[in-house]
Amino acid sequence: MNKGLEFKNGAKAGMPIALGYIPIAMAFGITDETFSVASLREERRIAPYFILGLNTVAFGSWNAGTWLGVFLGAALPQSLQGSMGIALYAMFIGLLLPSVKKSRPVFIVAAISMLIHSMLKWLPMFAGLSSGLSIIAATIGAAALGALFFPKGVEE
Amino acid sequence: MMKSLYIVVFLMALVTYIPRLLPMVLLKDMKLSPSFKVFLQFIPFAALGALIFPDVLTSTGDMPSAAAGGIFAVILALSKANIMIVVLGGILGAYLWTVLI
Repeated sequence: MNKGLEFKNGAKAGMPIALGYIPIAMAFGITDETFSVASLREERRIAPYFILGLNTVAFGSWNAGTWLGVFLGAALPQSLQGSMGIALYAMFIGLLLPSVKKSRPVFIVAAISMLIHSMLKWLPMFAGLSSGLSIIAATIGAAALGALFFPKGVEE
Repeated sequence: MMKSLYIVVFLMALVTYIPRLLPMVLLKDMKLSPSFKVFLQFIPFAALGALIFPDVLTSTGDMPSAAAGGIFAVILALSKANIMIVVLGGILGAYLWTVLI
């Protein structure tokens, strides 16, 4: 039933593999972080088991980190606790910048997205918009402008 | 009280799970137009841009230290450092700013 699928096993490129119920498990692990890591991989098609492994590692680290934070967090100095708030953003920076360096369209799309989100956040007329909705609007807006300006996509 | 908490957690999990599963199931055999594919190709970069800025500035509770950590992370990322180094460098940059300045 899955013969139309395009997911491929990295080891045997070109050979479709049966997915079965894997998407049910894959969807469980989709977050901003796993999506970013997976979609910025070099290969055009990603093996479903890579996604499952990625999700499991992220889920495990998250749980371990939460427990660790509960018991050890209070022992860390306040200044270090505050500084660790930047960790997630530093990871996003580490994921985004290599692509920005390689491709001008990517640079412009990411910059437009930052600009739209900043406007939605700071302009008084958008004060009612929640942070989540602002991010979604900025993402869709910037990607749409990117598709308009750079019909050839990421590579140029 | 405890019971309603579990119900809230379960319903929240369901509400966020459905929109993550549906595109994967529905789009798998769909033919997409080339311009829509390009649009989708740009989504990760646009999402990362919006996720990073301007929220990074409020991530440490103190804008100058967050900016210092962010700039440090950007420099490390541009010099092709491993992502763990970028993350630790960002934390270190913010921490050093708080402690030293």
